[in-house]
Amino acid sequence: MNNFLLHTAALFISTLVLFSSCKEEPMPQPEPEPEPIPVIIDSLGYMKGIFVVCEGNFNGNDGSIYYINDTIQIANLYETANNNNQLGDIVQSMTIIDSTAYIAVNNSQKIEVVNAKTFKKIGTIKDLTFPRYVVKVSNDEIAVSNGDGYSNNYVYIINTNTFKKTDSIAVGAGPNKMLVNNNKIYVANMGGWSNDKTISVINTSTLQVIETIEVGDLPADMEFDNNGNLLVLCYGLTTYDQDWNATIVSNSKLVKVNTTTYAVTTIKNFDHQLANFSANGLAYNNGTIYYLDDAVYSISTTNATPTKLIDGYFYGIDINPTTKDIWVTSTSSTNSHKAIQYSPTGTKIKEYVTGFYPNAVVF
Amino acid sequence: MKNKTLYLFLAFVCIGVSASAQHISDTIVLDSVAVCKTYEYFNNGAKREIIDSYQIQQNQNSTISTLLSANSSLILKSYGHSGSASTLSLRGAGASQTQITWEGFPINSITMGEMDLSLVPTQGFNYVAIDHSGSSTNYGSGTFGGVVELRYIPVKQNHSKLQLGYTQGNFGTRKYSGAYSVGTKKIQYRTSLIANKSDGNFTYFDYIDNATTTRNNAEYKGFSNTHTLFIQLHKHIQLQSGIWYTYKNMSIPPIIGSKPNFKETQKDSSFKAYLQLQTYINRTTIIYKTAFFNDFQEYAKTITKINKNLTSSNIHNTKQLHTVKVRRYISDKITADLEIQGNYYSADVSSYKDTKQEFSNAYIGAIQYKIAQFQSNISVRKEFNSHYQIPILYCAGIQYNTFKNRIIWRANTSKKYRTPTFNDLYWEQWGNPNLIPESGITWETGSQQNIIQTKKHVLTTDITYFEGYINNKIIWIPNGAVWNPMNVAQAKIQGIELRAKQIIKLQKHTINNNLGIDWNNSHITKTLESTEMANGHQLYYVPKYNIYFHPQISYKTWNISVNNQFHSQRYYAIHTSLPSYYTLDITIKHSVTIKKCITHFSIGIQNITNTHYELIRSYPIPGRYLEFNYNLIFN
Repeated sequence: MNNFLLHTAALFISTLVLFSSCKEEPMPQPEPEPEPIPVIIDSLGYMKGIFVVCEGNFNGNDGSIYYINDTIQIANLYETANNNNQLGDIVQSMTIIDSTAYIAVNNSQKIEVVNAKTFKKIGTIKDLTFPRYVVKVSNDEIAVSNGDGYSNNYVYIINTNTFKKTDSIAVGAGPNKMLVNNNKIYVANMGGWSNDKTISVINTSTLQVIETIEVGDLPADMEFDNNGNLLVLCYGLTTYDQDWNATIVSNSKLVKVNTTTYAVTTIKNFDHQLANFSANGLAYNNGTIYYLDDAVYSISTTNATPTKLIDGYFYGIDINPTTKDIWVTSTSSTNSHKAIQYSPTGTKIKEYVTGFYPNAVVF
Repeated sequence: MKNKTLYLFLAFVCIGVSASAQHISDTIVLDSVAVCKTYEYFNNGAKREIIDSYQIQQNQNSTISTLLSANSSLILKSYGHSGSASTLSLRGAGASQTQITWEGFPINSITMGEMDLSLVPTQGFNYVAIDHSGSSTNYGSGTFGGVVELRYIPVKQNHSKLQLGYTQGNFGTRKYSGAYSVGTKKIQYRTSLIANKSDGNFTYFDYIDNATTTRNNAEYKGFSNTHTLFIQLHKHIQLQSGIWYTYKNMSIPPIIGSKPNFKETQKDSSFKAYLQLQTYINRTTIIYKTAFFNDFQEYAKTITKINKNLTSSNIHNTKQLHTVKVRRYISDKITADLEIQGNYYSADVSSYKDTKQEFSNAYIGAIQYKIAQFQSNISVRKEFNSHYQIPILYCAGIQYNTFKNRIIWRANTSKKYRTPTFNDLYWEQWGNPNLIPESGITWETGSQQNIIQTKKHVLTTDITYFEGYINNKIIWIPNGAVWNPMNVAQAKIQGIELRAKQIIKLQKHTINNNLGIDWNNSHITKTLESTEMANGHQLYYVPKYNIYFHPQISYKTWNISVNNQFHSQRYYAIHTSLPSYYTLDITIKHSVTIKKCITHFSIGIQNITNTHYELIRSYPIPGRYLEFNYNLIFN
């Protein structure tokens, strides 16, 4: 029996050696150490740093908020602050209003409300079907854009004390980005799964649509310029027949809307459709417009000749209002998605590996 | 003394219910000196497992995934309760790298590369084998993980047998099955039918809403019918044919945490037919086989309130497969095969620009040398494909029996490939028609030890080490707003599989024990960038450790079986993983025989510990599930 076992072991080991690989292998990645729970002692709490909104993988329920300040980065701030509870699927946006953060989780049909300093959960806004963005209406009201293009295309007014709907305002298809200025909410009707070409203007006192402005196919992102005009980036429309033959209905364009007269002026007609399809492809700083295509480009409102600033495909662009640094989000790798910080002149400063599909940086 | 200690230890872990032997049911490794049947390829050196026919019969009302899930080397992915789409992969290679065959014909989808096991009822088969090596030389594309073979082997004797079955379980589960088999030595016919439905409304913990909730929009109903005919036309001429039709209509439930305003539904139907003619002349067997498959799928996403169709897709696939195989018994030691295959695939998908087709011809030569203690084989394949250059493929294996067959050594290596799926190539706007096939080499070595081989006690152990590389691995990469599949990675599959099987026949009891321990280190070895975080990372949804322990006790007409399974954590993204989980199932069976009628009753409780777990991120698996089975057999 002993010889039997000895021969067994010897023959097996020799066969194993004969057939084992001789190729060099990269060392396996070490398991990441668990995130320490950070101690934030400043009165601003987490509001002292910046937040990266990470959509997550579709149906992966791994949307997250990535946090950066001078000393620490936190991969999943909501989980860290809320006993490992998870946000949900497709975190579309985060808006900070008076030290409260509203996180729109699009494919979980809800908005998580947290204290922006501690990131502790305050409550959840439910009874939504396709929440996208949030803006402040009054001291105790917010507006939520909701709608997939085919149904429930509303801006909901939500009471911030009860988290319940108090009004529903019908707008165009797929209401998306919103901006507020001078008692008006400007809603970009990006189309959702359908298409649209309008901006809805809502009076914050009457909560009625007072104007519908036709700007161009698929208005995706908006900014106000220094004169209070509304800059709108429209991606253009392609349609397909049943045999998938494509027809380009319109190319991308950048327009300016006079918010007093609602007159629309074209800043630039592109001769193609921009490579970026996100709702965060436009940024503005002091007379300079930035947009995403196959690179980051800049143009001025008076000179429509673009300058290539940062090469590469990016998903979202934001400008730090304090430092004027350019922040872009990158999803080009299958496994490492990033937020990258550049100087105002386009020099790379630092990059951060974030959660999946970072689409915006919130300051 | 050592044997007694071993016996006592193993008996201690079994459930102590008095019983006597009724039937030995087990998953067994193919006897290495058994004749290689004409429908089998030469596969010396490869680990091959044949599921016992008793096990198949006990799962007559289930699907193949239920039957195979007790084997821990199979990595099962499912979207939920029965009826939900489920796939399996062997050795971590992925579902599109694990081929499922029916009567020797590959039935994996040409659009997705995978096979939905919820469309495969156990009812239609009495032979299920797992070829862990599964060389491309023999089986063609997509076998890096291995092959699962499904067949119906005719019962070549006078018989007439009627089986009726009924299953009732939680979540509105109902299954109705029937099979009729009749035959003589020259003609056999069998037909089977199964109809099932379920509401799928199980309770689960929603970790997004932090609340216990009930699954909705998860109903399904399905139907499957098979026919098999075998005719001995002449002393040396056999004809066999089969038809298999499956239909399924299911609602696709939303992911955890989501309460959408739309509803998703899917209908699948599949028709398969084959014909085989076999003749034996002068030490030569000639087989001609032909098969036709026709698959449909309709998917729709509808806004509930206004009943508006948001999106829909239709898929229609056909396959035509032809094989001529000649097996020549050159001598008592040497056997040679020559095979020619001709295949045609087409797919008409609403997301493709037009109907897509692919043709291939393959020429296979193989030779086996076998003596009492030693056998080896070499196979070579050359394939001509309408789209790709397929290199010459090979497979070689050896098997050596020592110590009077107490130890069997084996080793096997083969060169393999997988062609891109039609979705990879032709998905409108995103497909990449320039993809090339994945390719690579796998090898394995192992040993089976027949430690105890007596009439009353059998103890067999097995250890296998496997390794392989998949080059030009296809991964979908984001490129701006668009995703494209590209040949960008190399993956390594690697692992060790340990098995122990024991049968103890006592005076009135029979005890069966099955133990399996797997270690799987399959990971990405290279991607486009050397700094890519995926390099070295475990392949997604591949657990590093799988352990199962499956004891059974039989006493007279009673049988109790226990299924313990443990799966370690599985990554679904670079830093995020599904936690490890353990499940415990118990089934109690009782049989009553009155003259020619045998009645089987069984009660099964799955997931007794009510473990909350997922096999695919965001899709919960049911907790505790109770099922009652009633089967009648008239001989």
